[in-house]
Amino acid sequence: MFFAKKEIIELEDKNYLVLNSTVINNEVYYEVCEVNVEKDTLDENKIYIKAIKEFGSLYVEEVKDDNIITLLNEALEG
Amino acid sequence: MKTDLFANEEQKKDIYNLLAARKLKDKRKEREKYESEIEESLNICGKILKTHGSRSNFIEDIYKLESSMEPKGILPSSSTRDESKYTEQIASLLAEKKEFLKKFPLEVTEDIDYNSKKINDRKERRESTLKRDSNIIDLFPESKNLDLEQAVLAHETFFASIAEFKGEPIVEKEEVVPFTDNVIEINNYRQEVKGIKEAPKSILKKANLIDLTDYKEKLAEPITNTPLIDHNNLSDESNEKDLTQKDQSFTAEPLHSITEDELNGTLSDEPVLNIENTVKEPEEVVEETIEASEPEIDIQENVENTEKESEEVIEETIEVKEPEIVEQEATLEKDNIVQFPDSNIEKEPQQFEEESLVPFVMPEDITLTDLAIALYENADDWISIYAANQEEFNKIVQEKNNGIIDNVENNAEIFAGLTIKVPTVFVDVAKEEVLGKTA
Repeated sequence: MFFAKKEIIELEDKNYLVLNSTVINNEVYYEVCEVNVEKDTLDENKIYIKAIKEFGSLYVEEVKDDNIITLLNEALEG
Repeated sequence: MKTDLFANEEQKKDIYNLLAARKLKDKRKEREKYESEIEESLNICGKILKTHGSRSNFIEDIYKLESSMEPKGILPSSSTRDESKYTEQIASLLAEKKEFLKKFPLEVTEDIDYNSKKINDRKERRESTLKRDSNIIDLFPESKNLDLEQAVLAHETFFASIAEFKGEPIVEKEEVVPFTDNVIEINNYRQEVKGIKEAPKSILKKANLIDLTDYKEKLAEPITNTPLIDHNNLSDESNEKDLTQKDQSFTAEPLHSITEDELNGTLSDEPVLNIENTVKEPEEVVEETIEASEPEIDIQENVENTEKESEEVIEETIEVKEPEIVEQEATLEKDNIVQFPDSNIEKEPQQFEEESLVPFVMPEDITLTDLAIALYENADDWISIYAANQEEFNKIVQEKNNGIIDNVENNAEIFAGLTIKVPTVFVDVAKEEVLGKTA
């Protein structure tokens, strides 16, 4: 687990608020929404990401696989 | 990148003629060199023959005869040469040469043969240069009579540009990056995490995430699962009975005894709170939607009561309650267990503003300490909640706990199902002050 709930993940040009997390197929997925801390706003659209640590840097990838998204919807919203 | 060497076609033609004239000049010098070598070889042969008693230099005679067979200047090829005229003379000279050389030793004959062969070789080279000249003149006829010096001066700028020309600029090839599209796609797809920080409370509230640092799941689940009292259905007999039986002591008194003017003022001043109030006029119904400042409490009671319903409930509870209270007070005085000086409490100034009190139904497994943690993030602040509901709590403690106030803040059962008044604005109340009144 790289991130915890209620934490803000700071990327280069955007920030994500971690809403929830779950494990599917031994992979940790996070439900996040984009937030603007300065304007105190958050995007209603929720996306799923996963974290990858590579060569000493931590990266996040948006989950695009429809099959995994379906499983995540069932796990986190069901 | 192509660059035009010549400014125009005329310049191009002039430069070509100039180059052809230069070539003719070189060939002419080459021919002169060959002719001088031939003449030198003929002299050497003449000296050798003369020293050995030859009547004439027949090598030179043969050479002159052969030369006379050929027209001066540009020669035709030897195969087409008309040699019939001098054939007999040449043949007799060659026979004489052969007979003469037989008399001499080998060293002398070798020298004569070497020079005669050299003469023939230089003759062939001279003929080849003449043949090349004829080809050049055929291509560039003007080059035959061209003055080289004047031609070079006429095109001085052209030769200067050639002298300054340092070659075409080298164009570097662009580096071909394989799978360029994939690289871009990966960069858009994957982003590096620059940092992680704690989210501010304002964003957590907007995201409906409860911000409880010390008290999280323990409080969140029971509250959300607690059924709220639906005051719209108070007219139903079942609900009415349950309410009167369960919360008899509490429903005997209205939650808020504020006037209509105060109600309108507070509602307009603080739209966040939703306070249910009973109004004297039966036609006037007060509706207000509440958003509690703390979302984890999430008290949202839709309290649209008709005047009849509220009055009926109040009347019934009062009718039932009043004699009980009187009896209880009488028994308490007799038993001398705990006395609640209600008269003194009424005289105390109000520590809580009515508009800051929100009704809240206590769940079965929530204690006053839990509620204080959720509201004020401090377990010791349960006394503030107790102070806001001091009258009701004192009665409950008296009824259900035999008046024992110790550890009542951690007893979830004693206040379960009771609709209490929760102060959304924290008021610091001294514990001794509140409990001292009860003791």
